Amino acid sequence: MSLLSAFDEPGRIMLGTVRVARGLTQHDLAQATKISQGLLSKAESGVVALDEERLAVLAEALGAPQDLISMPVSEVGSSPYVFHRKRSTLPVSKVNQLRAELDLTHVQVAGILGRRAPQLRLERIPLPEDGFDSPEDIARQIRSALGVPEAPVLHLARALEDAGVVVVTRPLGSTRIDAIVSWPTGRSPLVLLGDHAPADRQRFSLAHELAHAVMHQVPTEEQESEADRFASEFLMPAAAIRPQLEALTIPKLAKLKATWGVSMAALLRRGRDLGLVNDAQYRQLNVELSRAGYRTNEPVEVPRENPTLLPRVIQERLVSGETISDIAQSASMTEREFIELYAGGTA
Amino acid sequence: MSTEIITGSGGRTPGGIGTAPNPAETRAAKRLGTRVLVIASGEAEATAPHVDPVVSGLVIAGAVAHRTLRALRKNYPELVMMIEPTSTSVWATQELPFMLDVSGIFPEELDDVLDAQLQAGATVAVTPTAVFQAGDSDAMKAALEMVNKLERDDFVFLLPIHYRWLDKANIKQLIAIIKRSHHPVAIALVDSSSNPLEHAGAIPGYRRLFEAASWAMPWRADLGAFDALAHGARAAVIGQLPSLRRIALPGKGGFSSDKSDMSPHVLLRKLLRYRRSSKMQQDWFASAAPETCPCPHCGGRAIDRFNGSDEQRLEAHLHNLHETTVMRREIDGYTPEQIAAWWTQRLLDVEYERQALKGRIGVEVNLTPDVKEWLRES
Repeated sequence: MSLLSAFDEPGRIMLGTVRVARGLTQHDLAQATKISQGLLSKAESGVVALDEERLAVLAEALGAPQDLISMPVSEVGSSPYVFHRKRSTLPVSKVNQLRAELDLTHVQVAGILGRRAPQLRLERIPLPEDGFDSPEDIARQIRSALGVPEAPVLHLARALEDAGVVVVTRPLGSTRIDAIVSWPTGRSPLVLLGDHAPADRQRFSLAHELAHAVMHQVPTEEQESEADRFASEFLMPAAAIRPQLEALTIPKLAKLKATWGVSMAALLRRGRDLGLVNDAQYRQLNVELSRAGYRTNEPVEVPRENPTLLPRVIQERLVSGETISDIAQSASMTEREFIELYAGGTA
Repeated sequence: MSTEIITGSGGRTPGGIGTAPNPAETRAAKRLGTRVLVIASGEAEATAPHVDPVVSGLVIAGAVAHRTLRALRKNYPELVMMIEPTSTSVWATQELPFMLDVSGIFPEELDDVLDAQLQAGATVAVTPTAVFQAGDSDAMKAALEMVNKLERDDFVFLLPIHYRWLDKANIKQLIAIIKRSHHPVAIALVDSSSNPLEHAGAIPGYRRLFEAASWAMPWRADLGAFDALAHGARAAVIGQLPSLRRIALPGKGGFSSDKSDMSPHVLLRKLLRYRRSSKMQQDWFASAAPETCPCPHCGGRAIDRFNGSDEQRLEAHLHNLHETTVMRREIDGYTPEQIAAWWTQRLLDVEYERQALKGRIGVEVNLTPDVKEWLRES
């Protein structure tokens, strides 16, 4: 799924982005601050400038620094499209909120990493219109470019971080969305990964979002299936997994899940797509998965992957003598919000 | 649909270096014309006299194909004949997309294999392509690059593909690869457990492929060849036996509903299906007089009479060849639109034929899954 940015009109300030990220309507914010909705609307779009007093009230109500809410959106940059992996229909308001949160996270991450940001080793490879290169072909190119061997990716989040992709795991406020990604020009790709899903699903979502970042610049009808195909090849390269998908059974799927770190359902689908499981076998094994209750609750726990880039940099900065307050300020955050989101809730 | 006969063999690509030939303009395409050929193995010599030289031709499969063709060429100098150079199937790889002997000091080259076929008397050569696993585009692209580098235009680029290549996810890439071929492309479907066109989504993918390709033909097909012709295929090769109507997965044999039953699969043209003669005897004509066939091989005798002897099997296969040749003659001179309309009418007629047979014998006669799918998608 993709959404065109609603926040990148000329003159706009970050006030609107912060408000939406907090899940507030203009009406909500107007009530909370006693500032008229009309004025808020004009202020967000940059038609009128807010005075210091109103800025302070708004910053307090939104839990954000004044500098951030008055910052022009054009200074921050915003990707024209974001892509998200969702499990079912999500209200537009929720999507907008996540999109705004993603834009804010870009600001925060850029401030936290500063010159410590890893070099970006990822390139955009759009899918050709005629289909000569498939999503699987591009997944193989990316694996090769990142130096990932044709074997199970042991720690996907770390592999992406090494390539310059920033991964932030946090609650997304809904279990109906797994992840969201954007890659604005001049910035690193950023994935917001929901912390609610099991680790095998998180890994697939991460690879799926990587696919969007690499292959998709504008939305297409097939983008979700293309991203799934990329993710399948990235996590389960055909050349390596093919021999292991012969004569699949439920116990074998469980064993392979532990090896490859992907769900049994994804492995079964991979077997089908690679022609190692015919339609009848695919149906039968799916029935068996359902009967065992594995469609909703699969056995075998895949170890959870925690991104390490941001905690490492924060630690480095603290060791070098900076304070939490310094880092929060560089991230355009209040100290409280910074601690909550990046310091494990404790200073 | 008409057939152009062009004599002569061998030769380099006209137009010089750097020219990307249009597959339809190659000598291979012109020699094949719009023929519906038959592919035979052990019965090739016995089949040759019955092949229509104008609208059909003979493809010889098997380990002794070169020797068989050399012998046949003396007696049939004008007949379009080809060799299928891959008598066993192996998976293609990016390094080895063709079955070439690379073990010696002087490894076999693609040109050598094509030349050997032409020297044995083949009208058009065929690449010895290995089988492409589902989605293995690296291997297929490597094969494409190799054939496009060949400076000749007297061969067909054979693509044996796992049936999953026809899936919605893979068909776009397959078409893109085929469209980049400078040479006519022949598509052979690979499956060991069932009719490759019975898989979900296979028929729409197959149709889309022939609609999009500039010159493609089904290879080792069954009546799906006519569905392909109705959707843009230029020529076709139909298998004489079930095992020659698809390619088995490497390392796996073909499939058979009953390996002990050697009775032949007989083509029932009006029902657009093959049926084993023993099954017709047991299921349809146990309590009713069998249908008869007026073709030269049946001579008005019962259509279910064939037993499992070599002679009877050959006779059934010659009946099948006669029937597909009749179908091909019916569309001679037709435009693509007329072929499509003809095929749709043939499909619609099946229902009438089925009901008529059912009414006469008092036994249910089912449509085959592919006829159902062809009808549904038409």
